[in-house]
Formats: sequence, structure tokens, C-alpha cells
Amino acid sequence: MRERVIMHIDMNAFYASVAQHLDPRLRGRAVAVAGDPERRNGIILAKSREAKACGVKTAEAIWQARQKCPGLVVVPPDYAAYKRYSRLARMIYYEYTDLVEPFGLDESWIDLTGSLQLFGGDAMLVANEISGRVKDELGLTVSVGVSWNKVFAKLGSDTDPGDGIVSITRENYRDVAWPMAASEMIYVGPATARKLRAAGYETIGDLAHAGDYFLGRRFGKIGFMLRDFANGIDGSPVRQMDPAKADVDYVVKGIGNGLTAPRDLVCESDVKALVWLLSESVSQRMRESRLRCRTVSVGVRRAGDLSGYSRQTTLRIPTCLTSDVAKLAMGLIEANQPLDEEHAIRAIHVRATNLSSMDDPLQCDIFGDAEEALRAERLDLAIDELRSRFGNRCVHRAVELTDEVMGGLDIKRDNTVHPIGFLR
Amino acid sequence: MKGADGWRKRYVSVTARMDEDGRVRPLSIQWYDGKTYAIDDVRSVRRSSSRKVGGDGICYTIRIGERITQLYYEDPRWFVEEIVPDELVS
Repeated sequence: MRERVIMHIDMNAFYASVAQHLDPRLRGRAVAVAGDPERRNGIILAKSREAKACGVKTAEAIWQARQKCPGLVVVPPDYAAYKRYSRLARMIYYEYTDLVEPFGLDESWIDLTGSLQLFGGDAMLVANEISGRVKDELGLTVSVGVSWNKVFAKLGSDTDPGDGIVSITRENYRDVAWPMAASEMIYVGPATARKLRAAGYETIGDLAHAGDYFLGRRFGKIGFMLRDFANGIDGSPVRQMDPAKADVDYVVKGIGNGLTAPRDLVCESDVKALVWLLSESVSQRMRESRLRCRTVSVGVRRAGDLSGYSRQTTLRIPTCLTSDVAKLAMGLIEANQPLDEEHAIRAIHVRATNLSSMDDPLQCDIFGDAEEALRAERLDLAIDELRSRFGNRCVHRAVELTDEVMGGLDIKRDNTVHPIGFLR
Repeated sequence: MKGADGWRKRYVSVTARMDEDGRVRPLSIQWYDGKTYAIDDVRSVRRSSSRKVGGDGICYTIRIGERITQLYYEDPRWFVEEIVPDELVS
């Protein structure tokens, strides 16, 4: 069988690079893309190479970043531009193969196994060409990893933070990949890396030689998968997506929305307003996809120490009603903490999982009122219809009117889905 | 919008012809002072980004009289890289 040729293309410091590309005065300066401090989302979302050199880190507060890097230029995010450049870059990849699998906005795997011969047969030359074209046509730099599997291809592109090209082959992977820290590999997050380190496994090479007993006991079957990855054993295909809607062609496993409130939530009506707003968006999106959920979960971040927790509950009968989701979410929060100033809440997340199609038959509850449930569903669908015609804010819940700032939010419209997930 | 030193992104009005196969050929540029410059020749058409003023789009390398310059179609607007005289660079 022919050896696969897979590339992982990663657009460097994507958000910050787009900002620098659109405004040349920002080039060569320390730039950070950050949320709005007024709405308390003021954390660093991305930073340019220059800012990174000063030690600015993703997800820290703007004031922390400014301390490290006094000349830091902070710009607001521009998702429309990111989506545009993400799509334009994929359009370039599609000229080389039809197998392009996006991984978030700034990364893609492409499989050139079948088409490489059309472009001369040398993977490094093609990688060079793609990198050059993205630079010329879009003004952005990419790093490319070339390998025979997706895991090492990604490892290769992560190795070089500049616009380099790294090839990991069957001949050199022991020299290139194995000396790297295990945490560099996909699916080795902080927790896994900590467990590995505790047992003396520091590098990918160590992981590649880990024993069955340790892996099985410590990680279960994921452990064996990680060892396979470290040995370059990964047969997962580059999925073919529809180029017209490459971003959305994923199987939906859950629908969720979360928000850091503009101010701390200190009483029941505050919490209720946000929970209903979030539940409304979640349920509306669920109904749009013609889905019902059986599990509702909430995540809460406390204002005091920024610690958080999440809780979930499972229903017997699936639902897509806003009121069901909101009441369950509210119930989960109330059961876990008192709602007062002492236990102020900073952010809430509502998520619906365990999804099933709305077209699946429902098992009715012998003591429930099935007709009433259907009526409620029709009411929600009617409201959805109104909103699709006149905007999300044409029909309000009374609970949302208790707070002016919060009532002005349109969570559904501002929602952007970032698909991330390697195992499916 | 000001670009890198000495350059500025200048959006311009363009008269263009759209051929039956969908190809677009710019014919003339109206400068902000009212002058109209006829485009004598389109040398090349390609996707490109502008390093000087930022942004990207379809880049037409055009000839106006004896000068060769670039005209960008940044869907849905056209721009050129304007030279800013030294005394105006702050």
C-alpha cells in the first residue's frame, strides 16, 4: 500500500496576524487580540510573535499582559475577518486535494496521498508552494507539518512556530518526535502530562515505550491509543468535508452557550435572567437542528475565587423546550449553592447533550400530559418563527427584563461555533 | 487608512467592464481630486495581499501611461496603494 502523505497546516498566531495584516502599522509590534474589558471579557485571546517574546500568554487578563509588555497594542477581535481568511486559506488547500479537514479556524489537515503526483510528487515542494501562496495571497504565514499520519503531521507543524516546514518520516521520527516533551502531542493535555511525568515519562519516546500494565491502569484504553500515537500508529483518515460549509459539517454532540456576565450575579433574579437567556439560545439552536436533549448541564464560575463547578441531570423524556431546559438548569444551580452576595457568580454555561432527533418517536409518560407538551413545543416553534423573521429580540421573556444590560444581549446571534475534537 | 511609512490605502471609484464570461476588466480610475485616469493595459491578474497598506484581494497590475501600478479588488471595493509625500508623514 502506498504510504499516506498528510500535511497539517497551522496559521501562525492567527488572530494577531490577521490584525497585523489588515493594519500594516501593527506589523513588528507587540499586538494582542483581547475581549472587551467593559463587558469583563478582557482576556488575551491571541498574541503576535512579538508579544509572545515578552511573555504575554493566552487567557491572561489585559492588565497582566500590560505589566509584562508596556507597549502592548490591544485590538478587539474581528470574527468576520477570521472566518474569511480561514475560508480563503482552505480554498487554496482545495486546489491541491479534496481531502481538507479543518480543525478550528486556523488549522487544517490535508491528505495529498492521491494527488501528490499531479504536483510533481515531492511533498516538501508542495508544502513550500502552499506556504508561499498563503503568504503572497493572504499575507499570513503558516507552518506545515508533513508526515504519514495526522498525529505526527500536527506535531511537525507545532514544532516550528515560524513559517517553517517540518517533515516527520518513518526514517526520522525517532530522532525528531521522540525527544519532544510528551505534552507536545495531541491528546496529552496538562492532566495527562502530569500523570505521565509522575511516573517518569517525560518525552514522546518514553511514552512510546510505556508498558501495558502502567498504561492500562493509569489511563485505560486511551493509554494504549496514546502509545500508538507516539509510535506513529494512527490510521484515522482526513475527513472529507463539504467545501461550501466546511466549518459546520460535523455531527453535533452537544449544544451549549456560556457567558461571563457584565457584572457579578448576586441574587436569584440575576441568575435567573442569565440562565433563561442562555437556555433560550441553546433550545432555539436545538430546535433549529431539529434535536431534543435528554441531558442538561450547567457550569458555574464563582466571582470570589474564580473557581467553578459543573453539574448535570438526565431526563426520562427528551425535550427541546426552553422552559424545561431553563428550569432544570436553574434547579441544578439552586441545589448547589445559595444565591446571594456571598456566593456571587461570574459566569454561567448551559449545555444540552445526549441529543436525539425531533423526528424520533417519543415514549409518552402515562401520567404526563402529552398534549400539553406538544402544545408547548408548538408555542416555542412559533416564537422561533417570529424571531427568524423579526430578529432574536422581538419576543422577550419577562425574566430577562429585570436587568437592562443583560436584556440587551443577543446570545444566539453572537454565538460562534468552534469545532474542536480529534476523536469522533 | 494609513499604511506602512510612506503609503496609504486609498479606496477609489473604478469604472469596469464585466465580460460575458464573468471576467472583470477595470477601464479607468477616478481619483479623489476628480481626475480620471484611463487604464491602458492590464498586465496580470492574480490573488495577492498588499504588504504596503494591508488587505488583500484580486490584484490587477495595470499600466496608466508609462506607469505600472497595482489596483486591488477587495470585494466589494477597489483600492490602490497611495504614495504619501514625505512632508505629510507624521
